Amino acid sequence: MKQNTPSALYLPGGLLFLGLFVLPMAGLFIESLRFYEPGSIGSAADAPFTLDNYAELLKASFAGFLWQTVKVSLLASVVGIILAFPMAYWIARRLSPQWRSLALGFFVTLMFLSVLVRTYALELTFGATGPFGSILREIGIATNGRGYIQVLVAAGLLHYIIPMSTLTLLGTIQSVDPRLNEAAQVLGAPNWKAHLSVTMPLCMRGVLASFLFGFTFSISAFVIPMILGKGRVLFISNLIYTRFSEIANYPSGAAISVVLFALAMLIVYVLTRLVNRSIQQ
Amino acid sequence: METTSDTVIKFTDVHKRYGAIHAVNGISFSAGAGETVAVLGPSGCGKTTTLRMIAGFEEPNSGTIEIGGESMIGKRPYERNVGLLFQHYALFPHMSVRDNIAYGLKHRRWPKATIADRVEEMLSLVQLEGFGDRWPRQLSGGQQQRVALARVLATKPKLVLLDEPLSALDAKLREELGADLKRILTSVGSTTIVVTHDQNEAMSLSDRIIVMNRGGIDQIGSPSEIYAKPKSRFVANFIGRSNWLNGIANSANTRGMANVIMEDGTVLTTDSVGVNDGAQVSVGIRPERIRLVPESKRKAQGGANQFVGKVANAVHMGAEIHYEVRCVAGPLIVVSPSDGNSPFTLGETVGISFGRGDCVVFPESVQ
Amino acid sequence: MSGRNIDDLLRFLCKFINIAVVVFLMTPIVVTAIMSLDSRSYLGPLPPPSLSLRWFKAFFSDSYFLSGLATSLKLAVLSVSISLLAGLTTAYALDRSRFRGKDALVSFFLSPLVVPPVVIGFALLLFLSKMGLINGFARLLCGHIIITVPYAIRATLAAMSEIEDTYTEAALILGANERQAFWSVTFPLARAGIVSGGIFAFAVSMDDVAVSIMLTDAKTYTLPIALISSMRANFDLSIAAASMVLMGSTVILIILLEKLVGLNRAMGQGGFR
Repeated sequence: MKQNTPSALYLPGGLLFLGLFVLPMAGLFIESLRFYEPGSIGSAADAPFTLDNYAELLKASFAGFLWQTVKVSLLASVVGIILAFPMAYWIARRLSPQWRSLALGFFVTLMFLSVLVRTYALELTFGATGPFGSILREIGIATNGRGYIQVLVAAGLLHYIIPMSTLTLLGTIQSVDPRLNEAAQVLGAPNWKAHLSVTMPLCMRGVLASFLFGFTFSISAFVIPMILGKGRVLFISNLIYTRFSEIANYPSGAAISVVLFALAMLIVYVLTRLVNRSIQQ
Repeated sequence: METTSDTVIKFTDVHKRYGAIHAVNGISFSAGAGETVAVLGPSGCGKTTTLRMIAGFEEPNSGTIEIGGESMIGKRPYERNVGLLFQHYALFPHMSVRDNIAYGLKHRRWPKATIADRVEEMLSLVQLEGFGDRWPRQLSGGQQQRVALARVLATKPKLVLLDEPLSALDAKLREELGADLKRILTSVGSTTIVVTHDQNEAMSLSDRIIVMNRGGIDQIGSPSEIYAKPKSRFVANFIGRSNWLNGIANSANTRGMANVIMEDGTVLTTDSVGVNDGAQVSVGIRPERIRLVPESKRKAQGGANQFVGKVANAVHMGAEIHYEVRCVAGPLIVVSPSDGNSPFTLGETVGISFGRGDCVVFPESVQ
Repeated sequence: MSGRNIDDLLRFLCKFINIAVVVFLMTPIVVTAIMSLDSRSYLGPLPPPSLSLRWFKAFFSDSYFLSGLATSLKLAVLSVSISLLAGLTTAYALDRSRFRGKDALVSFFLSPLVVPPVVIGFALLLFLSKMGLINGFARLLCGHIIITVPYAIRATLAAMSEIEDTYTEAALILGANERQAFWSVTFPLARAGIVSGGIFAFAVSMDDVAVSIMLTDAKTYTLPIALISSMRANFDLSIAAASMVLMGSTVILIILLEKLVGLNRAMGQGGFR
C-alpha cells in the first residue's frame, strides 16, 4: 500500500528548506572563511579566503566566553533535572487525576510563556533594582557581582528547563510500571533503594533526553543571558550579535556561529547515541 | 479448472514474495456464485496476503487473479467491486452510522436520490433500523460489526471478503453472530470468502474450505471431507485432533491397501491406498472414532483393529468425556459421549477398537 | 540510619524541594502581576501603596508597542499558514514512504529545532541581503517561516501516523481513490493534531526574539523586539503590563489546545496513569 507517493509532494517543504535553511547555512559557512577589513560592513564581495576568523577563536578571550556558556548551561541543565525528577514523580504517582490535570496545565502554561515575560519578571524580582534586591544586599550578596549574575542567568534558564524537564520526565515515569517498585520492596529493599535500582535506570532514557533538550537550549540561549546578564555575562549567541551589530564583522560572527552550530550538533549526536544505547539495554 | 459463466473469482498459480520470504507460493483456486469459501490456516500461512491481493492492497509477483472474468492485475482497490469486512471493522469514527454506510455508495457514484433509501434498506437488513444517526463509539461490538457488514453490502459487491469475522468475540456471541452473518449473506446471495485461523469459524460459515500451509494450498474440500479424509498430516492435525501411531507400511495384500506394522509387531489394517511398501508412516485416528468397552466385553466388540489398554486419565467436558488410554502402541486420546453409562475409572483395563476406515496413513517425512 | 528513616528523610526533602521549586517558578510571575498594577510611577519596594491600571493604559496607547504587536500578529498568522501547508505536504509524503534514509530525512526536516536561533537569523540575513531582499517584513517572514515549519511537520507527522492504515484501506475498497480517501478520512481524523501543531507554531512565532532581532529594521519590528528596546531604555512598568497581556494570551492558547486535543495527548503522556 505504501507506494505511488508523488515525489512532487516533497517540493513545497523541500524548496522552503533549500531557500531558507540549506543555502543560508552554506552561505554562512563560506562567509566565515572570508577576510574581513576592519571598518567595512561584512566582507568585500571579492575578499580572499582565510582561516583567520577561526584562528582568532583559539585565543583566550573566546575560550573564556565558551567556558562561561558551557559552565552556566551545565549548571542549569543538571540542576534542572535534579529538581524536575522529584516534581515529575510527585505529579505522576502522588496526585489524583484532577490535580494532575491542573499540574499539567500549570507546567504547560509555564513552558508556553513568552521568554521575555520570564526574564523580565526575574529581572524585576531578583535583579539589583527589584524588591528582593535590597533584601539580598542586606545579607551581603553583591547583586551586581559576576557570580550573582551568573546565578541569575542560570535561574532564567531554569525557569524554562524545569517545566520542560518535568513534562518530559512525567511521560517517562508514567511509562514505568509502579508495581516494579512494589516488587523490589517486597523483596526487601527500602523505598529509596528501590527507586535507585529500579525506577531510575528505567527512566534513564527520559533523563538523558531532558538533559539533551536542556543543554542545547541553554548553550543556544540569547534573550535570557542578554537581559539577565546585563552585559556582564555573555553567552556565545550574544557574542555573535555584538560582532554583527556593534562591529559589523560578519566573517567573525559567522565563524562563531559555525562553532556554536557544530557544538550543538555534536551534543545532539552524542546524547542521542547515549539515549539509543540505553534503550537497547 | 475451467472458468464457467458463474465463476466469481479465480486464482491461477499466484505467487507473492516479500524479499526472500515466499509468502504465497503458487496457489490456484476458484469460487462460484453464491458460494461461501473459507481460507483456513495458521498465522504465516499466506492467507492474509491472499486476502490483500484479492482486495487490491498488494499485487502478485506472478500468476493471474480474475474477478467476474476480468483480470485484476494492476487494478486499484477502488477499481474492483469487492467488499471487505475488516477484522476490527474500521468504521470511520468521525462519521455517523448513516454516513459510514453511504460512503461506498457516494464514491461508487450511485445516483444521489437512491442513496438514502439504500442506506435504510441496509439498516433493516442488519436489523439496526433507527440507528442511522448514532456514532460508532456509541455502539456495542456486535452492533459495530453489523454496521460494517451493511457498509460492505450496500454497494452490491461481486465478492465479499470477511477477515477473521468472529475472532474478536467471546464464545456465546460468536455463535449468535456467526448464525446472523450466514443468514444475511445467504439472503443477499453473495459470494463470500472468509479468511480465518479458527477451524470452527471455517467449518460453521462455509460450504468449502481451502486449507493453506506455508504459502501453499494443502487441501480444498467440504468441511466433512476435510475432517474425515485429510490429505496431509498438517491438515489432519490442524483440523480437529488426531492420534498418531508410527510404523512401517506393508501394502502386500491383494487390494493394495496398506497394513502398518508397528514397532512391537502389532498390525493395523487400514483402507489407505497408494502408500509405498516399506515406507515409514504415521497413522492418524480421530479420538471420537475409537470405541472403548469394559474388559469383560472385549470378546464381543467389533472393529478391524483391537487393543487392550489402561485408563490413565479421564476429563469430563460436559457433553463428552476425554480419556487418555495407555496401550502397548502408545497413549491414545479417546473422546466418548457422555451417554449416561458409568464412565471408566482410572486404572481400569479397557478394550480399544477402531475400524479400517477410521485411519488415515501418511508418509513420515511429509508434514 | 535504617532504611525507613532514610525513606522518611528523603520524602520530606523531596516535598520541600518541590514546594521550593513551585515558589521559585511562581514568584516572579506573581511579583510582575502585582507590580503591573502599581500606581507609582517608579519602581519601589513591595507592596505597592495602591493599585491602578495606568500601566495597561500606557501600554495600549503606546503606538510603538501597538505597531510591534500588529507586526507580530501578521507574521505569526502568515508564517503558521505557510508552515502548515508545507508541513502537511511534507508529512503526508513522509508518512506514506518507506525507504532506507527516511529517518534521516525526518531528522533533516526537524533540524532547525536544534540550530541556535541566532545562527539561523544571521545566516538568513547574509543570504537574503545577497539575494537583494531588503524589505523588513519579507525578511522577518522568512525567518519566522523557517522556525515554525519544523513544529508543523512534527505535529502533522505525529497526527498522521496515529491514524491506522485500516481506515485508509477501508476508504479505498469502498470506492474512494487515494486523494478522496485522504481528504474524507485521513485529514479529518488528523485535524486536531495538526491544529495543535499550528498553535505551538503560533506561540513560537509570537515569542521569537533571536531570529527577529537579526532580521528587523528600523521600520519593521515585532512586539518582543519593541519590549527589549524598551527594557534597555527605561525599565518601566508598562513592560510589566505588556507581560501580563502576553501571559493572558498564552493562557488562552493553552485553553484552546486543551479543548482541541487535550493536554495529555499534546504532551505525549505514558501508559500508567
